[in-house]
Formats: sequence, C-alpha cells, structure tokens
Amino acid sequence: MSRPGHFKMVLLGESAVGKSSLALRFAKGQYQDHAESTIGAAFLTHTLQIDADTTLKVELWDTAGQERYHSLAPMYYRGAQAALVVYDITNADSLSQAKKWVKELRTANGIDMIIGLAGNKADLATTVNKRKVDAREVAEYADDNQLIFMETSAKRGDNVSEIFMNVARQVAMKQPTNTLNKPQGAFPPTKPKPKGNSSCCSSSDSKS
Amino acid sequence: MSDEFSEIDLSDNAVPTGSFESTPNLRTRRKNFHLPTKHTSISPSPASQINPSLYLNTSMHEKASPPPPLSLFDSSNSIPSSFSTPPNSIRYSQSSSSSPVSTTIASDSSALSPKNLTRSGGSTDLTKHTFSFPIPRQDSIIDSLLSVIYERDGSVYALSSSQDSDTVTTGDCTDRSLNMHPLSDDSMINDSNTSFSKSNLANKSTQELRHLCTRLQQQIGQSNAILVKNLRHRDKSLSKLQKNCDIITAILQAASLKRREDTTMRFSLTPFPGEKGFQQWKDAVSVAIRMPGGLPAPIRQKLWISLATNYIREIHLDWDKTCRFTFNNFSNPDDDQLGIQIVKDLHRTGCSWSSNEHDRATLKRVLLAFARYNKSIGYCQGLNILAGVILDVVDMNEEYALMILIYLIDSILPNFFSNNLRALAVDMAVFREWLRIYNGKLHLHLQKLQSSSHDASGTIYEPPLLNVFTIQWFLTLFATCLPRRATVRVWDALMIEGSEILFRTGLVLWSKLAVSVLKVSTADQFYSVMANLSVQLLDEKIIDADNLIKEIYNFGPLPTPILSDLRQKFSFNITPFQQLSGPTANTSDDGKIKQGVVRSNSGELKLRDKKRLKVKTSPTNDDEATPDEDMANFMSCFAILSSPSRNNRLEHHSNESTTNNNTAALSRLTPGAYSGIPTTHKTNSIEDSLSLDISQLRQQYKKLQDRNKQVQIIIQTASSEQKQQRSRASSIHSSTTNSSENFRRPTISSLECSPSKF
Repeated sequence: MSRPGHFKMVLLGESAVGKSSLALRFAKGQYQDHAESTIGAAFLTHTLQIDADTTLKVELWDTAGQERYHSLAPMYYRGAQAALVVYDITNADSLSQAKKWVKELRTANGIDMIIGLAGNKADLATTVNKRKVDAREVAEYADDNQLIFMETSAKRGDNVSEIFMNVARQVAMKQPTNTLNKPQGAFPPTKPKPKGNSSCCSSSDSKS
Repeated sequence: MSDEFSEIDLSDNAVPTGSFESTPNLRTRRKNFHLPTKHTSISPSPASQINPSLYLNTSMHEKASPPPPLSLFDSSNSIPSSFSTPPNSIRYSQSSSSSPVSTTIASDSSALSPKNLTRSGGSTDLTKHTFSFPIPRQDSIIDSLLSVIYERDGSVYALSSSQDSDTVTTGDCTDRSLNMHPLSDDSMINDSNTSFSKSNLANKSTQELRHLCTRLQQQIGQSNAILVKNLRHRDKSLSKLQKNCDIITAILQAASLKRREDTTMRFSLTPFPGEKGFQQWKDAVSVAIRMPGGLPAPIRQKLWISLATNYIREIHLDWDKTCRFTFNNFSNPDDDQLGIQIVKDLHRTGCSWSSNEHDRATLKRVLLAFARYNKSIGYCQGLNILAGVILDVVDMNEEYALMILIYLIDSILPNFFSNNLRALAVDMAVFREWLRIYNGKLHLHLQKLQSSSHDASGTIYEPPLLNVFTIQWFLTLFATCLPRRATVRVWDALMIEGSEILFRTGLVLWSKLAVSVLKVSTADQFYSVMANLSVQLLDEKIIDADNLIKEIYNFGPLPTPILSDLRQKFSFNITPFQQLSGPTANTSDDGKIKQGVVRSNSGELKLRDKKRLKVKTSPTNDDEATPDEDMANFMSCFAILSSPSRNNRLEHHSNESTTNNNTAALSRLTPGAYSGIPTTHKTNSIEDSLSLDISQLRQQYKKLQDRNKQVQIIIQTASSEQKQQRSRASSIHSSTTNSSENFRRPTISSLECSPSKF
C-alpha cells in the first residue's frame, strides 16, 4: 500500500477548527493561541512508535480550511492512506462540513482509507459550557462510517497523540508486516520520550 | 538655549541617524502625511505633529524638504474666530502652528508650569479649546516656529533663556509672547472673552470700545504679518522642493536604463495631473523603487495611494459612495457569514497583528468593506494578510487600505481569489513551465523527487512539489515567506509593473533555493530542507531585499512576452481531459469524455455521463502517472471541484444507495483517480499534450456545426414525413439536438473564455 515505514495523512475540516493546532501539538507538542491561518497547506512529519520494534513515520499534510481552498484539497489527499477530519465541538456547522469531507474522502480514496474524526476544542466543553455537538451522536455516526472518533483538545493536549496513534495502528495493520521497517538511516528516530499521558510518541523528526 | 531651539535645528538640518523608523510616534506621525487627495478623518489631536518626521524622511532620502504646507485658508480660518475671542484666536494661530512641536503643550501649560496658569488666566481651557479646533494637518513645526521667532526678534530668546525652566516648550514661548503684547490688563481679556455680545458691547463706553477696537486691529495686523511670512516661507519651500525633485529626477535618469521614455520621467511626491504627467511620475518611481534601499516609507505610502487613486479614477468609481456603502455597518444582512469567517482570521493574521484590538477592528472593517465591494471574491483567507500589510503601510487608514486592496486584487492580480482559484491554477502551470525554461535543472530535479516517492503499485502520492510552496507565495504575495522589508519592496514593483513580478520573484527565490534543493534525494528531505530554507528566507539569509529587487529587474524589460503566451496557452488548455484524452482515443470518445467533464463543470452532470466516463477511463491502469500528468491533474482538480460539481457529488450521494455502480464511476471523476489515463500519454511532453491551438478548435467547431446542420436536415426531412410517423420524428429530434449541443458546448466554452481572459 505504501512505502515501508511511511504513511501519508491529511488533515481536513472547516477553517478555524484547530487542524493546524492539532498538527502542531502532535508533531511538536506545542500550542499557540493565535496561530496564523493556513494558506495553501503545510507539511509536518512525525515518527510514531507503534510497538516495541515498529516505527511509522507520519507525513502530515495540514490543509487550509476555507471553502475557497477546497479545490486544492485533492492535491493533498490524493494517495493518502489516512485522514483526520476535524470539527469544532462548539460549532455544529463544522460537523456537517466534516461529514462532507468524510464522504468526499470515501468516494475519492475508497473504503480502505483510514479516517479519524476529531471533535476538537474539547477543553471548552468543560471549562466554558459551549458545547454544541453531542459526542454520542457523533460516535454513532463514526461507527456507521468506520471512523476513529475521539474528542480532542489541542490546547490541553487531550487525546491528540491517542487519535493519531489509533489511526497509525490501523494503517500499520493494513500494511503487510514485512514492510513495516525498522527506522531507516535517513530519519533515525530518537528513543521514545514519555511525556504526560502520551508515552507512545517519540518527538523526533518533526519538520514543519 | 532652550530645548525647542535645538529641536528646530534637528528637524531642519540634521539628518537623524536611522533612528526615525523606531520612533514610537512614527505611526501617528505618518498618519497625517500629506496625501494627494482629500481625506475625511482629519485628526484634531496633537498627533498633527507629523511634519517633523515628514521632513526627516524626505530630507534624508531625497535631500529635499517638502513645502511647509501651512495653507492660507487654514490660517485665515482663524481670523473670523478672532473676532469672537481675541486672545483665543491668537493662541490658536500660534499654538496650532506650534502644536507640532510637542503633544504635551496642553499638559505643559496646565500642569507642568503653573506660571502659565497665573500669567494668563484660564489658559488651560483656552489651550484645550484650540486643540479641538480642526488644526490643518499640514502645518509644520519649523515653519511656524520660524515665523514666531522672526516676529518676536530676539526678545523671546532672551526671555525664554532667562526663565531657565526645563519645562519650557514652545507652548510656553507662545504664551509668553502673547503676554508681551499690550494686552496688559488680564481682567479685561477675561471679561471680553465672554462678552463680545451686543448687549455687552452696548454697555461699554466709547473709549473702551475704541480701545478694544485698536487692540483687535493690532491683533489682526499681527496675524496678517504672520500669515504673510508663512506664505512666503511656503513659496520658498515649494520652490526648494521642486528643485530637489528635479535633482532626484536627474539622479533617477542617470540610474535608469536610458530608454527613450526614461528621458521624460519626472519625479515628484505625487503624480502630476493628466495622463502624461502620471506616466512621467510612474516612470520615475519605477526607477526609484530599484534604487538600493528602495522607497522610504512615506513615499511608498504615497506611491500606493496614488496608484490606487488613479485606478479608481480610471474605472470611474464613485469613491465616496463606495465608501459609504462598504463601510456601512448595517447595509448588508448577508454579511454575517462573511463576518464570521473574517473574525475567525483576525486573530490569525500574523504576529504583528494579534497585539492591538483597535487595529484588528480596522482590519475587519477593511476586509468586510472589500467583501461588499467585490462580491464575487468576498472574503478569502489570505486577504487578511494582504490587508494587514497594506494597513501597516497606510498607517491604518481604512479607506486608503480598501482602495489599495481593490487596486491590487482587481487590477494587478489575475483573478486569484475568485471562486475556484482557477487563475491561480493557470498561473501555477505557467510558473512551472517558466521554471522549466529558466532553470531546467531544478525543474527536472523536482520532478524526479516527486516521482521517486511512489508506492509499490507506482501511484505517486506527492503533490507537485513546486506548487506546494509557490501557491502560498502567490496567494500571500510573498508576505509570509519574505521579511516585511523585502515584501513591501516586491509589492512596490508589483503595483507598478503588474503580476509578472510575482513570477519573477518566484523564479529568483527558487533559483536561490536551488543550491540546497538540488542536494536532496527524496521528497521527504525536500520538505525538511524547505522548512529550514523558509526560515532563512524570512531572515534575509538567502537573499536580501536589494539583491532580490535587482534580480527581479535583471530579467529584462517588462512585460516579458513569454508570460502572456504561457498564460494564454494554459488558461486555454485548462479544461481537464483535453490533454488527458491522449492520441489513442478516437474523436467520438474524446468528445464524450469532454462532454462529461465540461458538463460537470456547469453542474449538469448526469449519472449517465458518469457511467460513460467510467467506461472510457476504466481500461487504463493507475500506476503510470508522470509529474506532467500530475500537473494536469492538479489543474483538473480545480475545474472538477468547483462548487457546482460538488453539488453534483452531493446529489450523487443521495442516490448512492440505489446505484452502486455509480460510486465507482464517481471515484473516477475525482482527481485522485486521474492517474487512470492512457499509458501512451505519459511519453508526451507537456507542450505536446497541451498545445491545442485555437485554429484546431475552430476546425472542430466548424465540424460540429456541419454535423448540426446535417442533423437539422434530417429532422426536417423526418418532420415532413407522414403524420403517423411524427411521434418517432420528434424523438429523433430531441435526441439528435441534445447530442449535437453536447458536442458543441465544450468547444464553444473553451474558445470563448480562454483568450479573453487575459
């Protein structure tokens, strides 16, 4: 399916739902309050430690969210093995946009594509009562469409590495085991550094 | 000597050593920079101290000082008011002219130096009052100070130096000088402040009135003298400015390419009236922007505003009306959606922009105003960045910002931001082709990198590497990849020379990056190297602004003919599948495929067509995509995913459950599946596959017309047949006309839209 040890993943969703923030949190463990909006797309990589002796390098394409840039998206999701569709739990419209993305991905890349669905800004649900999207309904929708669903918070870091990890595991399962390589020379990952609850992530090899 | 005197020296003669950029007041100062057109928001605030900086900047860069623009009318305004409140009026004419010196005159006279309070009773109020008067924006510190100085001879200096007060400002000076005049009895002044009413005057004795009269006349005479002096000074400065502009013109001519039109160039701060004058000015400025260091900020502001104003005039736009409409808070109920998207981006416009709430509100108003002005574009992410840069240059003046944004997007850029980014797709293809010509080695290398990253089945899944970065460059006009200093200089060139500057800048940058890019061997490495290079670009480590501008102009005279040729070629060929159908497909297949796609663009794609499309594309295999095709795919992405076709997708999804076949057919339609094209095609070079010229299409069109005629003849004969056969004939009619129309449509649309577009 893919080059050994690599997979391509694309982040999609309405603008300002937190795609770039998720990517930044995932790849670098950072968070910015007012990140610049993405124009075109941004690229990041991160190496995940799937299990004791397997690493998988995620090549993450972070796309621009505005409807106007929709026509650019296929350039990035083409040939991607996985996608993370993001919505904002404080914005019901962003969920319907996310559902559109799921449909588009399924038609373009087929049922084989691993799609994660992230309800971002979960921190706002607990601190300020702003929740507009019910998690259970989304969970049902996710089950029906074979999506990996989690509510995340890029700000606090909740579930961010988990959802990427789950997606990566599924990608790994689909790949023939013999192609899951030990890290290659060009991109040696460092030892996994346990940080917080995301001990499975190694923080090496992050490129913007 | 007192403080103010040294300040005069500094502003008049001394050239500050590069520190003026960092002056915190610079922004407020620039706000009042003298601009060519009328301006609505005259700030009566002490911020009118702009002129010192104007002097500094211009004298530094042009060795010229602009005229002391204290105008006759502004000063004469004060005369009528002098009849009502004489001390006030004098203080107005003087303190308004001295106001540029310091923003703290009011506080000086009220709080810092109590002497003033005692000396002239109620001076705090008076001073405040004078500030609320609309102070002419152009009055200058030196100007007014000089006149005050000359008026008072040496006595003032003697006074002020003898006072040895460290809070002495010109405000003090003015107050003092006021008191020097025979207005000895303060009580009377205070009385007369409020008592120029008829009843009050009637109560006065003849002698008192005479006294009052002579006093007023004295004051008038004094004001007149000041006025005349100012005017004389103004004239002198104007001629000095003219002389300096001539010197600059000479310098620019010496630096120019010495073409014929260069001999007629004339530099000035604002364009001369008339078309010829504008051209002469533009020629001069276009040389000036290439000089090392570029334009000083105030001149840049004038340049952008002048160009935008000229454009607004050219398109006969009623600017006042436009502003009223676009900046109106209530006018459009459908703004809400726009507003939401704009507000989302306000905080995300860049580091320099997230600091100030007031600036963000200004940015929002400008973006909203633009969206209302140009409904077909509305708001597009990226415009916030452009508007942010513009607002910085025009010092947050929203009307000028809107004007420049309109000029930039409507006139300079090809329709980048309109709905499906089609023009951007065209320009990306053009850029790629131009890079192939300009730096073939890099082009080849990038192609190799992209095609090296394929999986076991051979599917290339990297996006076109060049586009990934260039799209962002073009959409933000390099504002996100170059330091601000370089960005505005590229924009100077862009606004004068047009969108070709984008290509030239892009080519220069890529060539600078090529050294590092050529060393990488995989797409992964490319991205990581590019990440580092982007940082270096922002730090001016790769190329500095002067060299960048130099190289941009090293391409030769503008415009380069190749650009319009390529644009025409690619905008003409951007219809997907034309280049993908390949030589093996016979004409009817060709037509059908085209038909399917073009109809999908116009939102009429029927499931039937999709099935047919599937049939046509299914025999091909997926593993033979080349980078060239990728570009074609990229272009086709744009066309096929335009909003109407997305509606189709949705419409299709509603039918999904019923027609399973169509899912597969649809997947063929999406760009991911475009690698499913004839294998024979991949050997073709891009020019071959794309060069369908107009004459060919005309031929095709003619053929189709002939066919149409034949069809109509058939119909006519059929309809003239017997009556019982009429039902059959009509069915033929409908089917044949349908098909002929379908054949015709793509040809017509591509003929019509593409050449006229650019």
